[in-house]
Amino acid sequence: MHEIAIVKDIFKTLEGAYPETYENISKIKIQAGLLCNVQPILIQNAFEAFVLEETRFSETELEIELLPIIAYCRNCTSEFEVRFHKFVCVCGQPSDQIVQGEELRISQVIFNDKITI
Amino acid sequence: MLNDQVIRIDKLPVVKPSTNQEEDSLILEWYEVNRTKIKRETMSGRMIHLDKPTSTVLQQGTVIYQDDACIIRIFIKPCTCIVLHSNDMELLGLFCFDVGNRHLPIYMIDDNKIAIAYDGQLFPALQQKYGSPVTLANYRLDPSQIVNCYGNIYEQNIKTRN
Repeated sequence: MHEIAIVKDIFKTLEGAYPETYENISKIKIQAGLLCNVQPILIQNAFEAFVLEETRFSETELEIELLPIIAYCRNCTSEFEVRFHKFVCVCGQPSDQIVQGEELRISQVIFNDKITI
Repeated sequence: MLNDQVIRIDKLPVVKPSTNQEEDSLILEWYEVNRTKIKRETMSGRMIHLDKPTSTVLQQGTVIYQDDACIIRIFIKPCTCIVLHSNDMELLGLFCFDVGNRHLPIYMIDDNKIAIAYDGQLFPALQQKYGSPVTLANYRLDPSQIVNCYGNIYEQNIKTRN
């Protein structure tokens, strides 16, 4: 429910990282885990509202990649994808050791055909 | 064989019937239907630069481009959903209240079934509160199924059909 603040934070972060060029960003890619408590549609809608006001970013795209939940099985010493909220490995061992799914991060920034991480 | 030309779309076409066009799809996630700018390759590899008005919502099957050679439609990928299946209107109302308070869109899948996109934090909370009527399943969340605050479009569609 704080998606506008998150979008503003994203731009603030990018401004800090690329003070000279951040207004030339053509695409921002974000990775959001299914456990990160942020709904992609709300971020997407907040972004659309933000660029309507901040017209200097009107040519900027936001692309969100949803990351599946990955857990670690101590029994198999391997990772497995949590499907349908079942935190149980194929071997039958339950696990609450989350490897992926809680993150919300900027994964890629593209400046007019140039790629920067 | 496709060339490297970018297809720029700034308004949706009026669809003209034709038989010999290649069908192509622009694949979107359910949460991308409100995006105003999309630069992406279609299924067949055509590069699309879509720049649409904010008021236009992309739906499953929406034609975004048409020429003599091809017709490009929107394809919304199905996703895991939290589904409430119940005949109890009070339960449905309470569920919608809880989900609506989080500003999330609710989709009417059929008469007694509503769905929202899966969220790893929300699902256990809703299942704990509403119990067995809350399950998980894969559905395509199409904007035409969204329950509106100011009048249920599902109801309106039924009235229009009748």
